[in-house]
Amino acid sequence: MRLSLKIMFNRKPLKLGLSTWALGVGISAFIPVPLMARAEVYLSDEQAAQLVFPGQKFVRKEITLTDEQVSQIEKASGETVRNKKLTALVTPSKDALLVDQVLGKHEFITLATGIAADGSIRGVEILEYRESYGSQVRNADWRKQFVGKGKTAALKLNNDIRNISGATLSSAHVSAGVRRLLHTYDIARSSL
Amino acid sequence: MISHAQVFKRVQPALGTLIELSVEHDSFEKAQALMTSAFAEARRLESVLSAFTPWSELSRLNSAPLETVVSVSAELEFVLHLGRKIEKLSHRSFRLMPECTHETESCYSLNGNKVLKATNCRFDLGGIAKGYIVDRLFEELKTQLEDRPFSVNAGGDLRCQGDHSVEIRVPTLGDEKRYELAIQNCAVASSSLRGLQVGQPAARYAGRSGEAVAVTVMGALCAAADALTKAVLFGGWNEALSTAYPTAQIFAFDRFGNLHDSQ
Repeated sequence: MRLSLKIMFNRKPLKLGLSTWALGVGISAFIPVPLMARAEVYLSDEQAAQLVFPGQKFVRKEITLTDEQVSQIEKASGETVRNKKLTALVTPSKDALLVDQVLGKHEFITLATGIAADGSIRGVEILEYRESYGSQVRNADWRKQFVGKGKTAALKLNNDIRNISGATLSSAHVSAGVRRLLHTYDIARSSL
Repeated sequence: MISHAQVFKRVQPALGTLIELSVEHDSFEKAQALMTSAFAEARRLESVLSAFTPWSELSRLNSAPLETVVSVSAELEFVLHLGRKIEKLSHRSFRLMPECTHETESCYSLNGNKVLKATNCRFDLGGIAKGYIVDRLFEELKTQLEDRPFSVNAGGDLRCQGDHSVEIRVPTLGDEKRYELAIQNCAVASSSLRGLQVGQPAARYAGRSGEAVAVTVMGALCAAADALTKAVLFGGWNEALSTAYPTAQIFAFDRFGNLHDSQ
């Protein structure tokens, strides 16, 4: 086994290591990420509306779907409507930005879909990504590795680790959400 | 002069994942314009390199008659040549045609931008195209942002300028382990046997499987890092790869989430 504990890349020393329990030595780098839920807000719905429909003026509408509309949307889209209430930012010409949430395996995504008056999609923006607690967080054995770490650098790391590698954030749920909103626009258009 | 630079982030679905752009800029409008342009470029490149889009250039190549020379775009030419290089160096642990069971040379030939398919095997650039698109978006943003910090992250294949942190997620027999890696001015890509039973070979690679269940590669270019993760995951690191990519850093994790090998 070859193991480099410090790596030079572009002349900057990069610390690398496993958690100390794994190596049994005092390596403080490659640190297990602390156990906190994280949320990232990318855009407000108004910002997204301006990006998708530049220069337009919008009226905010809170829409509550009827049971019949829910049934129609589910039948047309093949997707379950989890929330009968949704926010829409609507232009006088009936272009609309619909905001909804989708729930992936471990993540909660607030999604905005811009739909033009002709029913075509003009843009999709992720407004918020919130990672829920994964099962490993509840796993006592997994938590044990943090016991006794005290004031290590790891405690500083829980605020702003946004880049994730190794876990593809599937867009399948987003695609399903967009499909649901497209049919929502079609069926609830008279309410906009 | 006082800098009022802020970090602006934006995410859109593309390439079968979510692309996150992060740029430091002193203007919200200018930052958004840059990102809008970059997302448009991502969609354009997806229309070239996607094997899942029927009208993409790659799909047209796949459906071209056998033994017919096809001229391809500069983008597709670059990805095919880089992929073939890593395919050879890795003794086909990485493959441009992942489901192919033939010898490579009998299935296709490359000569500049001329491609000839000899069998019905299909190109699938899923192991390299995402990294390539990350590189292209990075280079486009770089021309506008110059030395400002920014990053392009396509579902874990990412490239950054400046200091960034990356969370590495490793599937294990239990659940998953998470590590943090501090990076600067480089690309990072990860691949794992996620979705497959840990310890079982990856089905699409026809029984080939190394000991690692997850591999992260750090290097200069995301396209190469992306392909190298598959090469190492399914065949391990070898001397030829090491010679060709001397600055690449390899992190291979076993099924317990422990780091086993690094260059």
